Amino acid sequence: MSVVNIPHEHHVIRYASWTKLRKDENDNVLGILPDALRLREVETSLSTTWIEWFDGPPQNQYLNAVEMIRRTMSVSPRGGMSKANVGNLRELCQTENVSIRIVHEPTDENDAHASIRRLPRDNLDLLELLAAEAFTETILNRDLP
Amino acid sequence: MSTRFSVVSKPRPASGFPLTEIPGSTSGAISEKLVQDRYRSLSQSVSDAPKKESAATLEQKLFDALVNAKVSTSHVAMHLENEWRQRLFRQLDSLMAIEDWDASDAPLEGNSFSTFLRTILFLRPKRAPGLGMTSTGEIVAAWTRDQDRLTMEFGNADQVRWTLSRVDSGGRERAAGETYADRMEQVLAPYFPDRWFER
Repeated sequence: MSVVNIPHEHHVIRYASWTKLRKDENDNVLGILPDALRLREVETSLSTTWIEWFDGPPQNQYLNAVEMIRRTMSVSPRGGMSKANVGNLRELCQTENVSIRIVHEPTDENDAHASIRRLPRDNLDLLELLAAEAFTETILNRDLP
Repeated sequence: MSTRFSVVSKPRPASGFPLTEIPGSTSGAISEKLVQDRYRSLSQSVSDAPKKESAATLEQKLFDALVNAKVSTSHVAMHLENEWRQRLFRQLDSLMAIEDWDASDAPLEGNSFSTFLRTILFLRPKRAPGLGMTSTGEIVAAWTRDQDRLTMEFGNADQVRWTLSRVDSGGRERAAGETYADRMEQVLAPYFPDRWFER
């Protein structure tokens, strides 16, 4: 099967559990922490869901992607759905001389699954940059329909 | 303009905590000894924590980790404002709520939490951080003021990994590094950390 690079103008969602969300001292959610983007030892790529894989207007695409995540992962009410623009992700990584690939890799459960490949395993500075400037829209699962 | 620095401290032996002077703590030899005794007690309480049974349920593991963290905090409670301590307990309760826990994550590591407490005692921030955790059970502290962000991950053996970004008239500045709890104040000084630590 040919590898499909996801277009720059498209978006992906990364699910982050409550412990991986950036909060203030009163537990108000501000975004995601770098660890939400850190590969685990067993992982070779970062799992996301491609929003524009779904049909329909943008809001429907987004909600369908959220629904796919809910169906295929263990998510909690206070987990966060964090959205990033694909082009922005690539450009931010390039500023750090890191050339990532964001490709469509459907799984048995998630047809819209997208992998972020070549992300350094433990570059806290880069992960923080992506958390701050790429995954800029984070909404709690419980606040979504 | 954007500038970035990466700072990595030279490694040093992990055994034993360097019980150096704590800025802002009560001065005098007796008080210093008291603090050191408390730290020894804190370290001891972590190393003596009962080994978890492999069959222990996730709920039990989280409960044990939460209790250990609160006990560790109580050992240095005299150095924390009451409001600060109560807020920390609320944050820990929230952080380790089983209904939001990712079962593939490790529970809070006691030594990581000790490093967090020591760092807080050295820095004495008036404003508490938001708390998070890594998948491997290390606690994370995050201070955010507008676009200015400071994040610390607390390892075992007093190690702190940190990253910050701040915006001023010259543009965005970023820095990251790895150091030890008793060095964080000096490491952060050039970045005017009061922007995060003052209320």
